[in-house]
Amino acid sequence: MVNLVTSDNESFTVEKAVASRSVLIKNMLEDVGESDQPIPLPNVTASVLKKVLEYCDHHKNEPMPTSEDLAAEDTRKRTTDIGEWDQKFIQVDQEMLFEIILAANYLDIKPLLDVGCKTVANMIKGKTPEEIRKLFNIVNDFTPEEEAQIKKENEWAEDR
Amino acid sequence: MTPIIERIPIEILVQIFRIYKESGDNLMQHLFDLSLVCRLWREVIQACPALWSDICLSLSTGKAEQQAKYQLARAGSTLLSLTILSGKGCEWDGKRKRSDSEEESARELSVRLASIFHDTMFRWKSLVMYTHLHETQPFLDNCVGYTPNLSEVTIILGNVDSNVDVVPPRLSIPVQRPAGVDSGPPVIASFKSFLPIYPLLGTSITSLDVDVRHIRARTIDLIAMLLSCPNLVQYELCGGLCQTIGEVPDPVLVPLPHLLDLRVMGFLDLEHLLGALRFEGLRSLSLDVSRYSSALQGALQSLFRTCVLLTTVHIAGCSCERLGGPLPPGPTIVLPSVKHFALETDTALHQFFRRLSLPRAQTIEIRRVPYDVAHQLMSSSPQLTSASFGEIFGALPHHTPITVLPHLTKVKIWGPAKLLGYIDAPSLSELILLNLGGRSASISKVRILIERSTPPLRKLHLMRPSLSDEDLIWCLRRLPLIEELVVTGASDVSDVTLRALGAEQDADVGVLLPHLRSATFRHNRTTADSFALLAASRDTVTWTYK
Repeated sequence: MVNLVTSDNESFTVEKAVASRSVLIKNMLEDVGESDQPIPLPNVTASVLKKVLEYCDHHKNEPMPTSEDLAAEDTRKRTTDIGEWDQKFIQVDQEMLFEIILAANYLDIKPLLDVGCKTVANMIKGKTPEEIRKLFNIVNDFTPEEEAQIKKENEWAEDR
Repeated sequence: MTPIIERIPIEILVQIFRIYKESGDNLMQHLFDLSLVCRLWREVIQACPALWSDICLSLSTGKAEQQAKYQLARAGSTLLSLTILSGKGCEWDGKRKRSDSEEESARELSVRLASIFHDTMFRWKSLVMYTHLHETQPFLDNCVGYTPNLSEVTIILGNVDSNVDVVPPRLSIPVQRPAGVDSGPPVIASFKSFLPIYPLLGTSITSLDVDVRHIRARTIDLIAMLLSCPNLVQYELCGGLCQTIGEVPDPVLVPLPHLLDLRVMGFLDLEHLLGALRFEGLRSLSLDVSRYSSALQGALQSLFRTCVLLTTVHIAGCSCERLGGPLPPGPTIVLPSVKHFALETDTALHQFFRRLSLPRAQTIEIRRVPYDVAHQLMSSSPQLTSASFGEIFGALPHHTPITVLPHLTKVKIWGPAKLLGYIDAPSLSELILLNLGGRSASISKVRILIERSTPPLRKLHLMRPSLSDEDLIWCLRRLPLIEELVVTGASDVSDVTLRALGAEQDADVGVLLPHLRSATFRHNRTTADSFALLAASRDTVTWTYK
């Protein structure tokens, strides 16, 4: 078993197979060897880690992606398809979605990061720039003149 | 408060943008929309070459050159995926005739595009063209050079004159590969409606897909194509149903020592090509040809004798012609490694297939053959785990022996279930019967199988069976392990069966099908009221009724 301690000082004891879905933790365990010392995760809160561990537990028996898989993924066309279980898992509020993405990035859990990125890509799909801003609470920091200029520059790509 | 998306690192934002832009058709529009969201997003998009490296140009938009230059300027030194379409967006207007002036301006545009892309050829990862000959030829003629990173080339010509008297277009594929060990990745090539010439690319091609349905291709042309691809691993050839490709003037052999997968569809005279190929390491063969002449049967026999590593065989043929007599009776032809065997033909091949033996076959799918051929193939396959039969016809000889298939778990039959009378399948767990045909004959075979093998059936599907309540209940009483039951289109099955399945049974008999998890009754003579009573009495089962 592995003991993980979150930024808000909560402790999680999980199977090694579950914790090792995180390449960061896996490498730590390999470096340290057998030890009862808790592993601090200063960038992850308890509520987010709980969710991440739920994902890791569900996928614990799947083969870890190899470097070849990751290289192939990089060259292959990506799709926005997400597995059925993963889709349900990632149905969380926007704050949690991005926290999961940040945690997956920090903990180096590529498949989870991929699910998060696909979910955000799906949220953006079919939306206008204004709708995207509204969705993510992004401020439009272009001046009206800049915006008009960019639209003019991009005009030729429209109605293709 | 800062929106959380602004805490997302740039590399993750790029990853999201890459997924997003690959999920739609109009890449440029997608990226421009995103770059209008805010200053940061615009900077990220403009500064990320990987977002601009998939270049898809539509020749008919009038913006292809502008787009090409714009994307190349932003793609930096990344590898490029170049797609050129004749039509607008993703539409491929391959059949539209062009006027002379349209053709001329398209030709000039292709030359100009070639001059834009020529210096980037060493970065091409893929080249895909869905274009007309007058667009393709000038582009290729003006793009001659090394492509060490190319791994895919697809050229599909539209609007080709399919008149058999017209000489088919030949196109030189000018991309070249450096010789030696650093020659680059293997190439997947796909060509349609022309004869490709690729003397300097051929050795890199490991997968070749050629469609000659709409042009007058000759066997010698196809052989020439293959001779320059000695490293082929996969070859797929598609011809017309009644297309002939002719004899070869001089005998020629095409060694393809690495070929593992061969698929051919169409043609009336494939024997000349098949007879010329040498590929002893073949693992998978799929033939769907129009006529199995004696010569083709001879070529097939030779192939089966030499390719002892074949694991997957799929033979199909339409009844376009029945010419070509069967081979004379001969010794058994053993396919020692075949695990998956599919046969779907009503040509003269039946005599040939009566001689086949499949000692290692695990799955067979047999359609449109006489019963004795189906029985021969099944009985020669003691390792069988799954068998599927459809439209089997004729009669089985008297004294046909019972075949014991100890590993058989799955059987699917379209039509009369006659074969079930000749199988002993003690491990059968899944039985799917469609269109059982005449009641007395078919249901008696099902009963025989159940009595002989007492199979541990878990899944039973009966679609449009001619059977009565009595027949069905008799079967279900002897199949207590069933978890999934489907009965559809059984016009004689009524509420009697539903009542028998109800929870309130005679204590001595117990509940019928105690392990049942799901049951579907559709288009039978059952009533909704009885079904509702049944569903209420056994709420652990998922019931479906129509």
